[in-house]
Amino acid sequence: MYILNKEKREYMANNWKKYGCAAAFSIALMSANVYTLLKAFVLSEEIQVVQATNTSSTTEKAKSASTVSSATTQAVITENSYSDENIQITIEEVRQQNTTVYIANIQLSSPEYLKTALAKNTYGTNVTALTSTTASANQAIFAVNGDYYGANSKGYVIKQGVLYRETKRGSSYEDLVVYSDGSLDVIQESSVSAQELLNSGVVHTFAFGPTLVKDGEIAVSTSDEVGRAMADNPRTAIGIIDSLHYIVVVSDGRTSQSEGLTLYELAQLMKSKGATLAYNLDGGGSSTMYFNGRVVNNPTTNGTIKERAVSDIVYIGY
Amino acid sequence: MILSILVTRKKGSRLEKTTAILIGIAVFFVLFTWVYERFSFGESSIYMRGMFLIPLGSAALFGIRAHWLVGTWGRRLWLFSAAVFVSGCLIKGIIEVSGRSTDVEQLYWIAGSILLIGSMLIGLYEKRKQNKD
Repeated sequence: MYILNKEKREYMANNWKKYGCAAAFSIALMSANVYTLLKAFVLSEEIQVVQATNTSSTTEKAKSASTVSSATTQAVITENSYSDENIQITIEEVRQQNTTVYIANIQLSSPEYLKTALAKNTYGTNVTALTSTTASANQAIFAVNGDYYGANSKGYVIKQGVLYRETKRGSSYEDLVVYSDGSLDVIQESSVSAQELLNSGVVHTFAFGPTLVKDGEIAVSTSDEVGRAMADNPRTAIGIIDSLHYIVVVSDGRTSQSEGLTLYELAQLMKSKGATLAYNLDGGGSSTMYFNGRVVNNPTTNGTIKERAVSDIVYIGY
Repeated sequence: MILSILVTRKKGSRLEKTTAILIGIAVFFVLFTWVYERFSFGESSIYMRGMFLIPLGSAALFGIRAHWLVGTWGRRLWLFSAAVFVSGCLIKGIIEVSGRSTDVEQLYWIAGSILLIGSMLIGLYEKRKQNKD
């Protein structure tokens, strides 16, 4: 009996060590996993507040209107258009590929009216706000979601001439750059540094992609897709037709009313509208078009018509 | 004689049990990935899809009774490293399927590799000690 009890005690002691070790490891690993996921999706980290500049701060905008040229004549505004001496915007709603597509034709008199803004005026991780909220806060006439830089840990971030991140992303997709004269181009991060871009006059970068139209020709194949997403999706894209003449497209998708567009279909649309260069921005639930104080399209989040909070926008305004 | 046979049988059955559990986990991962991707609007991740290979590969090694897996700590560290690699694949997969990109999984690869190397070294040491005994 004594021997059995001793054996039993030893058996229990050994098993306790074995299971205790596994239990401790499991708890540590699960904790690490939970923390990593929270850090990726939930925990926000505000890294840098946007400094007040002549072109980025709404306060500055209100105080010194002379630093940013504003319209001297009354704007003519309809449900689908805006026109003053500096900015002309027309929104066209079309149906194609069982999808509602919103096409904004934008003509500017100066590149200073093409701007970007960060959610909550702050650069950081998981710092997000609705496109309409950020647009309203910046008194945007027209706005769409940007490249959602906050969803990625790498990729150049230059907004309003300020460099926020210069870590290269390991993607074969090009970045879209906007120069101070309003021209657009695409670059590979591997071939130029963020500082070099700044030095060459780049004021905004968008690290998403792919390039849809280049030199007037479609630059994506029918099998191209962002990441490994299915073909039909809500989309946001920006392009340039000629000097200070832009086209921005947002499509609905993931609903019974609108299937969405493939990248190739989006590129075809951009080309048909005369874009010489067009670039794909963040799509899916992020795709939002804001015009004259309201959201024009039907952004979809988790199956419901609802805006998704995003980290940045590109907009037209004073 | 009988005890040694029992000990042998017990060790053999433990490895067989571990192999069976690992195969079951691999099958679970395949089903999990399939269900997860059905709700991801077509997004997928090579990491999530390949996650099942880790327990499957481990099961194969247990099945052929790889040298370093006969000792307790060799086996334990191997399973720990497999768990870390699986976690890394799962985290990377979840983030990629959400449409984001990340490199937070790098720490998992480093930790998993350290445990893997430790498993081999300690396992071979245990094997040598067993042979001497």
